[in-house]
Amino acid sequence: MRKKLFYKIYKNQTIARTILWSFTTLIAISIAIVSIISYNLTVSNLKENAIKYNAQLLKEVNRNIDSYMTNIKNMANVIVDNKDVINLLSTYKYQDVKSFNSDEKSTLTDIKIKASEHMQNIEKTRSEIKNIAIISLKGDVIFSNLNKKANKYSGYNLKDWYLKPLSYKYEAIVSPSHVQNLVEGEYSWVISVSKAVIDYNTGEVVGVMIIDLDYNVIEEICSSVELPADGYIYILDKFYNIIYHPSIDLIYSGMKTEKINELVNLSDINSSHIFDNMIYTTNNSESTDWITISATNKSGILANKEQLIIYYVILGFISVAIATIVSYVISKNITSPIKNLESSMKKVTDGDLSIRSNIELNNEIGKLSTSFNIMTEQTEELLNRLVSNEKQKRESEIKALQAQINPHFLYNTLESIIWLSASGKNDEVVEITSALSKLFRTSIGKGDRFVLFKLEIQNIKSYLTIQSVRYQDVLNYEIEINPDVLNEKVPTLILQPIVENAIYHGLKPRDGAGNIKILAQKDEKMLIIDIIDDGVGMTGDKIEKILTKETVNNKGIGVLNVHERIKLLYGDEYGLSFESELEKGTKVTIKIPLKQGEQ
Amino acid sequence: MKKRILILTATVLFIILTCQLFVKNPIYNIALIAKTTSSEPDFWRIVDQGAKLAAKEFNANYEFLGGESESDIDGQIEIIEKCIRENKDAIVLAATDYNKLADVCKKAYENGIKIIVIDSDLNADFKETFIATDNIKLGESMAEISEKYVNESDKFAVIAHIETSYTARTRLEGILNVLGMKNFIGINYCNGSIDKAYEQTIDLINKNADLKYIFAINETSAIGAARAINDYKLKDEIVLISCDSSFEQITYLENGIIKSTVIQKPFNMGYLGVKSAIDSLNGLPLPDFVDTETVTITVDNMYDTENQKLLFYSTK
Repeated sequence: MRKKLFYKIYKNQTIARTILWSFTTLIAISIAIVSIISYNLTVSNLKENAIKYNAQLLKEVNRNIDSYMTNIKNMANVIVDNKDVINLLSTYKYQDVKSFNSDEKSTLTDIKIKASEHMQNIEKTRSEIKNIAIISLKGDVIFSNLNKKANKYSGYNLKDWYLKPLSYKYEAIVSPSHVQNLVEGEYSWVISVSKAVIDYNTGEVVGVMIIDLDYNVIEEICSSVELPADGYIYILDKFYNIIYHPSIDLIYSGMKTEKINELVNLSDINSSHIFDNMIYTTNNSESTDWITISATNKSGILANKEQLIIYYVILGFISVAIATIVSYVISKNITSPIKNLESSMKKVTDGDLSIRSNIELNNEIGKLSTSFNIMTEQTEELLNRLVSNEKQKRESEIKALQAQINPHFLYNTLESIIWLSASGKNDEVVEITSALSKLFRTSIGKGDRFVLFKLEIQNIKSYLTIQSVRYQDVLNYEIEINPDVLNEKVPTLILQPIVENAIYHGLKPRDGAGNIKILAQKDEKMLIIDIIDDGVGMTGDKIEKILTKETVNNKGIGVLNVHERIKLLYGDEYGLSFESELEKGTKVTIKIPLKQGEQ
Repeated sequence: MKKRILILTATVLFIILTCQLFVKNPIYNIALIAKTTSSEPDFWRIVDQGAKLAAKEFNANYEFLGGESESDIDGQIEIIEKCIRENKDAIVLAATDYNKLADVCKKAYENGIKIIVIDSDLNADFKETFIATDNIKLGESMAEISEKYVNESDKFAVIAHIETSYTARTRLEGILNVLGMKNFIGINYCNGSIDKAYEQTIDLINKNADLKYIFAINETSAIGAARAINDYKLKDEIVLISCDSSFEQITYLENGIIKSTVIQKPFNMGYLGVKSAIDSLNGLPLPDFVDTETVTITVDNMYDTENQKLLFYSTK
């Protein structure tokens, strides 16, 4: 089935195209697979790195927060351990300050100023400290800045930052971001660190100290690190309230939610998790018990995901393009010698055997080419041999013909001379003898292949002279030659066999004297010689037999030889043609191309 | 040969596509036109904050504009004209007048500017959406608070900002929906003046011995009324119910002069206004009306975590 499919696809394709498409397809598929694998590897790598990086950043943020909060807690300790502060709050707790006399009041004011100065000195060390206050258990509020007034309606005694230190005596309590309304006319977002103030002597809590830190301080710490791909950090306290979130407004407006419950329910808090395409990394701070969470958009990390895809696709395209070009070149290289060989073969089939394939390769095609060359060489040689064999055959036939003419002709002629001399016809003896001598001198026996037409005419005249003497009252002849053909070259002995044939087979069987007429003229292309007799004529059958080799006896051989020689020399359009009618005569036309004799 | 042409076309197409992928989304120019840019009331500053956040989040160029006061109708018209000249992509508008701004907005709309209406409606069918507090509901919420202090025979009065104002009309409608006309003394318009509201409050108290509830249905009237009640120490006699949450209102809420205030979510209004503008520019469908909802704040719940955030936008 598969074989069939491939067969169907490739059946009508050139090898070059088959190679080109096979290579390109193969390479394209490989590149696609490799690209997909490397893309996935890159993506997972990116993701892993991002998670690692996030975890690192988060740790750094946590460290910063821890060290910062440790610092603030130390400050808190410095305040709550201050003797003026303790003294002041103890006074408020243990004595009824309202019943103080003026001396006692001024002493109280002095302590108040000292405590306040102490707080102020600490406040000054850090710009982000909004306010420091101490609150007695009876509700007296003393600020670092004595000009500030307490908000009567603040309701601080219900708030965590006040209540918790009372129960956790020795712990500094960090309260999540909230609006501090302790100071009259001030509402600011703060993070509070509060701690109980303890009287050393009694070991009892005498009040609460609070440091309010500007909310922005956390923001500064969190935004000091830059998360990749629009990532952000937010912080929860240990009760999972949001302490800091860059988009806190959106969260409280209900336009954004964080997956806090899902995250805090995970067993391993210091790790990374992926929900809904977001990568969350959580980290627990030891000093504050805060949970720091970084959220990064998974697709954001892979912000260049699209670019990455494009990058790989472009790379793939380029590779495929290069592969296509390379396979094109390869296929051309493979198939061009084949094509070369093919065109050589085509020329050979068209008949040009001189073609040799010039491929110089040592591979299969090279061997094929060598074999082809050997084959055509042998074929050419064989053909040449065939042609030369044929020529030799004709030539030996002429020779045989010449050899055949001579003795019979000579014998007959000598017979006639004897007969003429005996009857005392001296004139005729002279005529025939001189014609015979002329005939032998000029042509017969020399064996030339070509001869000037006038010589051939001279020969045939001598021949006819002899024959007319021999066959007196039987043969009359007439020769009409256009003088401009006299110098054409013609093959030897083309007229004599035909004239002989006309005499023996045309004229001799008839009653009474016969005529032979030889005409020669030329048109633009060829020399046309007509030999016309008024003998007994021939049937079409007989003409056919003369021009093929079907004549069994030697009688027609001369005519056939002439015909074949001319054809062999000049091509099929030349040679002999017969027109004959029984009892009326025969006309033989010889056609020979002009100026061919010079070749 | 055909195949080769096919490959060539595919390559060219592919290159064009990739080029398009590299082209970033256009950055839209969005103007938010508040009723006023002055610091009173606080409301518009919070709208601005929400809008700014949305502009940042969705990467838009954002400009906060507005008249000199909430009654500056001509000022707003001028600003819209300017926006048309500057070829803004979208205008987020809090209309100072339901009818008078319609023409200029129509012109802006015909210039291809998307119109998003927030807070106060505009008489226009071409606006993309209307994002506001449902003011009838707000009025109803205010009225419902008074039911905590219910006494059938107690009379109530309303102090409002501007008579023609859409919000004044609808909030009053909401109050009357709940309380009916029987005990309704009347409505006073302070025209955005705290002092006038102050005088009107004193006048109302003096003239109506059985007056129990005052509904101050905007920020300025609330402040005026609260100051009057504070100055005359009438916080136990008069139940003042307001809306919105200026700094001063919060103080009066803390000390019990304002019994309760119904707050809107201006931050959401600004945020959703700009977000909707961008959505509509991106061809997303928008609802006709988005209710940004209200929250009822009393002294007891004002420092609840969520409510703190709604009340004290100012410091963050």
